[in-house]
Amino acid sequence: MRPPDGAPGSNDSEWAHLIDAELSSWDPGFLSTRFHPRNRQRALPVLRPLPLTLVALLVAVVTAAVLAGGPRALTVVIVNLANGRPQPPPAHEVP
Amino acid sequence: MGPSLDRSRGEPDPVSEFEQLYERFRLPVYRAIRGIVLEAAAAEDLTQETFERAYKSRQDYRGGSSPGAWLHRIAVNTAISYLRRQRVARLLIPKLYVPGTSAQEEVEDRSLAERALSVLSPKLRVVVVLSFYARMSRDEIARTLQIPPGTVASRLGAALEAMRKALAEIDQEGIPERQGG
Repeated sequence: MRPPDGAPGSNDSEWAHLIDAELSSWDPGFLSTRFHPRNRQRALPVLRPLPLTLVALLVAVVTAAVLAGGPRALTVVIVNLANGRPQPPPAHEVP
Repeated sequence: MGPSLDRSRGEPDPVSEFEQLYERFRLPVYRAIRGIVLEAAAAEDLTQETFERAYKSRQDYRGGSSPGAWLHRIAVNTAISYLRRQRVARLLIPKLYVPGTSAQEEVEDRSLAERALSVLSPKLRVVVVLSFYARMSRDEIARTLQIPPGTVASRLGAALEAMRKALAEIDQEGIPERQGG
């Protein structure tokens, strides 16, 4: 395409034609032909398994430790969970 | 299109009415935005963003201007915001913006009109696009950009002068420098 005359004062309609023709040839590749408003409201996190599982596990460990009676029991519970097999609870100290 | 886009007195469904507006102005808005940002992919995202913004603020539209002018105002603001963000990001982290091809090759791949537009500052480019593509009058552009009509005229004059000079430089196989405020 030939550019509009470079001389100052040349006809603006040539520029209008040049720019209009160029812009009118631009078509979007991926823009949807129908408007779909994005749902800005976040859906409730119905299931977030990993965090829920971790929280439940922590609560269970702490509860078990408290019920078993102290920091030593907590260690045993954690070791049990880590080993994947239950071990007998700590024996009461024998005098 | 009526004076309001959000009627609730037994008149047309505002969502389907907005869909009609989208169908009618999707391409003009996309092309105008692309003419301002000069990036095809970004223009698509910004077009979607423009219509999202328009949809959210459709209750504020009272028919003081045509829907096209209203949409173009949102589009221009969206495009200018994008260019500002790009500019700031470029200043902060310039290494992320190293192009795959050289600037020379990038410019040479562009059409004549695109190369002429690329030498303009965003402010001048907006006026050129609204005037020569959207075919808005000086007063319409002034209302859309909320600037005096005289400013529109001076920006258009500056843009034409810069584009003329740029094309003269292109004729001499040079890459023109960006001009205009």
